[in-house]
Amino acid sequence: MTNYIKSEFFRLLRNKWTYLFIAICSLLLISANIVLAAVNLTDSEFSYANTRFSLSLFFSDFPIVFLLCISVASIVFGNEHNNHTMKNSISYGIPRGYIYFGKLIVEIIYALIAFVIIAGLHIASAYLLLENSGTKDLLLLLYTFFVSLPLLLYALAVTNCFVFIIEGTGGAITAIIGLILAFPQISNYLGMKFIFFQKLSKILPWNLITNIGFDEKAYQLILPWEGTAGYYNYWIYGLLQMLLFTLIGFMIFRKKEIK
Amino acid sequence: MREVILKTKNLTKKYNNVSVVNNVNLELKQGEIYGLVGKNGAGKTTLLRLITGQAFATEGELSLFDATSEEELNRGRKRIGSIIEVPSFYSYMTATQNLEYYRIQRGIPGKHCVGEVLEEVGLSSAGNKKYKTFSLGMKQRLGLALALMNKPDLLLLDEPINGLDPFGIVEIRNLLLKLNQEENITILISSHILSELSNLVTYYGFIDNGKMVKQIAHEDLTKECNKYLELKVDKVETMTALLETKLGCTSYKVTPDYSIHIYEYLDQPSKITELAVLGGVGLNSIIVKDINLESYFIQLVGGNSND
Repeated sequence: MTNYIKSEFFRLLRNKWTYLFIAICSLLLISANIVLAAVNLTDSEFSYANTRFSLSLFFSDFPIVFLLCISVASIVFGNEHNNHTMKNSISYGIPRGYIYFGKLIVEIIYALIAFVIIAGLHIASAYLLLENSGTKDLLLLLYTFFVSLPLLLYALAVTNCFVFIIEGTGGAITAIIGLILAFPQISNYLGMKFIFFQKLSKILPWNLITNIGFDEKAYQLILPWEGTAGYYNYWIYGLLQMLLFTLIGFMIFRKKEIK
Repeated sequence: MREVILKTKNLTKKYNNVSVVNNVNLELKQGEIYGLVGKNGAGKTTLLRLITGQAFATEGELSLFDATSEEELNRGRKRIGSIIEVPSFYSYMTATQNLEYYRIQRGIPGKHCVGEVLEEVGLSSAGNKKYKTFSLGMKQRLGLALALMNKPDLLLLDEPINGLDPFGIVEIRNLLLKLNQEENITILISSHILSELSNLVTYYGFIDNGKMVKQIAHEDLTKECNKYLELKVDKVETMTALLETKLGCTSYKVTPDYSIHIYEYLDQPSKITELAVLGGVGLNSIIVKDINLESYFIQLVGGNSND
């Protein structure tokens, strides 16, 4: 599998979207800091030109990071179905497991690198351009990242699953959005009537990530479960669902014919 | 005795209960160039996809280099180079980058092999061009370069001369012959351009509606495609006896419609006429006929049903 992963990185480094994705996300976040700094120059009463506000914008918008995982996995997958390139690997006898899990590993590594670069540039620009409110907000950002990580892995795994088993990009994206966004919403509505859906909706990753609250005075996260159980549950439910869709995707891909 | 490197036994592939490949038995020995001949939709590509693991057989067995289990078959596939349907690469990468990507993936040692195969297929000057700018002929050559990169023991080529100009066709044919003769690479090549196959293959397999209708060695096919005298007489047995006893002719055959095909005396049909008359055999017709590969194929699979 090492050779497969190496080759995927070779390809990824030669795809302009690998860089454009990071550049666009970084520029958007940096531009938010530039806007805050610019407004502060014209309005001395403006109270949001500080690192606290800038970082809180970032960690409170983690559902967007969750959704961006769909783009990350799609970039790494490289439109193999439309390019018909997967047949070259299969014909050479590369086991399907290497291809499926290799892609997922590369997606996770690329996502982490992209996150570190984007978050790093955002934090650096915030501390360079805005009033320094201390480092405690950084801690809150780290907590948010730590508790969201299994959910981000889930988003990558679901995307990987559907882009492997559904050949059309439109169909795959529809299925992904349906599962990670629409299904939790439907479960929420059904939960008003049925206990099963009430319980289910509580553990669906989209609901988990949108239900993260922040106590900005105590610099703590407010999760649906109190204490350390909150952290454990986020990891357990996130990883279990990630594992479930990884296995479902692989079982289907194993029997899927390649064109 | 030459090693059998590819063998299928009653290999069948069904889609929605319709057999696309139907009980195909095929045996490919080392050093052969096997021509898989069939109309569009006859099942050639599906058969190649089954061999390369892109599709799964509904029934039957596949053996590659004596391996039959899925894991062993994958190991065997590492000894194969293939172009199935159209060659496919990443459009945003250059020819060299595309080959390097697969070189890394396949764990082929030595970066130099990329340049070598590009040169072998006549693409050395196009190595730095992006794949999206390639013509169909260049894409075919790059596909062949990929197939050759791992120095395969078996080449599976699906319509490899599609899109090539006449010079390209000759060049690729010569390359395949060289690979077969100098490096003992076994080749399974599918095509519907029969004239091209006749310059290349040592064994033919004719496939129609998923069924292997005939397998025949090149020499035997050449004999069958030779010129012959078609004789229609009222006493077939008497005539064949006369041929053997009076003319010593043994190179003939009686067809199911009771015609006699004589492969000798092509320039002396009067001798045959005389023999029939003297022997008291009623002669209905005597015609010099010949059959080329195309006609042979059309006769075999039924020309009018071609899609």
